[in-house]
Amino acid sequence: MSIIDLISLPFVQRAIIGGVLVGILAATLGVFVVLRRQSFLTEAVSHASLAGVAAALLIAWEPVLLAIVVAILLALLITYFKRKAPLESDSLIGIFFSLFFALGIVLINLSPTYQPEVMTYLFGSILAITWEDLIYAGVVFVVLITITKYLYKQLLYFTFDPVGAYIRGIKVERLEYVINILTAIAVVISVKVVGVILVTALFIIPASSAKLLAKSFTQMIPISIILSLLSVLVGLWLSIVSNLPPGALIVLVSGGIFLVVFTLSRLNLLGKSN
Amino acid sequence: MNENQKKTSIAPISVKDLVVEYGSNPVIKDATFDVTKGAITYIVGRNGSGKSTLVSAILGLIPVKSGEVYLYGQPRTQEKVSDLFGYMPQYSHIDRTFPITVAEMIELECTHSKSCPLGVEGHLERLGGGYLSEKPIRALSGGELQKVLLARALVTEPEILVLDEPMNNLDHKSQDKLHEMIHEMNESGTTILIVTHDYSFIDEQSEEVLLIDDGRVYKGRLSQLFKEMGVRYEHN
Repeated sequence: MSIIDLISLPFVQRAIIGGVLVGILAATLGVFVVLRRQSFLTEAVSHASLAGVAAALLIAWEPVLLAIVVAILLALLITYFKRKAPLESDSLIGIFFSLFFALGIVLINLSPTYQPEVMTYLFGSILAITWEDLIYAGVVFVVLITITKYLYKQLLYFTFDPVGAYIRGIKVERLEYVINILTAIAVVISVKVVGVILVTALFIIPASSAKLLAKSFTQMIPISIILSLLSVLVGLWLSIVSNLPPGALIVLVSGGIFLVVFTLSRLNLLGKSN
Repeated sequence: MNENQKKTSIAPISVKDLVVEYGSNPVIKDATFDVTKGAITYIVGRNGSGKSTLVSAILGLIPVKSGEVYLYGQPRTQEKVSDLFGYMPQYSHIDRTFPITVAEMIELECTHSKSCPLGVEGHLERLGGGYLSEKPIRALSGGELQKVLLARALVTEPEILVLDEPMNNLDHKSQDKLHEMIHEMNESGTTILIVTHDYSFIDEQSEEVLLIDDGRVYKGRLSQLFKEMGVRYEHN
């Protein structure tokens, strides 16, 4: 089957649209996650949001909505305790991540019947994405990208130098809550593509490759987006032609790109020092 | 009395009964002092004595247990800090792997400042023209980065300039040049607060210091304070 034939299939069209939306979102917010050294936050949110999915299935609610609520709650808790408690953010993330994930497991076990949606959530199902999923993803995409664009300069300054940002009058505490909440929502939406277990890769790998390639911050987000879309589209295509799981293949392609970029940078072939 | 007249008679920074603790460990104990307008004031003390903590508390970067900080007689707010201060952080506090160019740094500062009299181009010009502007900070030498951080702190032409260990990572020639620049800025009326562990640039007879010892903050001339406290010191 040719690529043209593949693209004409509705489920492939939906997968491409969903992958592109999530790829752009994760690559954009991933830049801030990587530069703020908050990679573990995405891991925590994805796992913790399982509690929201499990609770939603128990009370017959929309899983993504409750997962977003749980993710926002986790982001608020981590940010609040980081500012108020004399503990490092990795410890706090570890504490809340475990608590929410444990709650998720308990809720799944409270369900009287087997819930296939939980497995879908764990491993992702981009090829099974529905128009309804795309509407959710599209709305979230527009809202998050608009807010990020509006706050772009403040987020950049805060990420680079929080102390300098404070001196220049930026409300850094408020901004930290905002970026963590935006990231949490983006993680939940992205889970549909690669699943809870692999979603961190969508945020971290393209942004990390972009950090190695970019000379300036202005370059970093576009590079991260290009690498992310390349991973999503190539991974998706490989999945369709090989009948292997798309989420895993997207992450493997992304990892392969990172290794190439890393090798080139080690060999000093990127010419970015000047 | 108008705003400017008020400013001429009131200390730019007044600290009253300031206490800062990390956990239950007191770092600054009951500090009360004024910073003299238009002077260069050095904050000195042993490593870990709380020099940077004191500056952070003055700027409102960390919570304090008790006490007040006033700027020109008014309670400190973030807006006032933003209006009055320029701040050069310690060199080591900047993430040198961050993908940002010198031009982007200066532009960010101008974007978030109420005033940027020289504009981005003007500041880059003051940094020695275009040769640094498109360089990512990871490609800068230690001295170049210090220069950029100082230029960034000066973007607003601040009334109060805070420099945290500005001489670190500079060779002797660059240190002398920076010392000269600091005095030029001071002569133009800028109040300057310098955190340093290097006493060699302090005029011990004429320049004011805030010496932190065991959490207490003592204000005076360096030679007088050492004499009173019986502390032996050596020039670095």
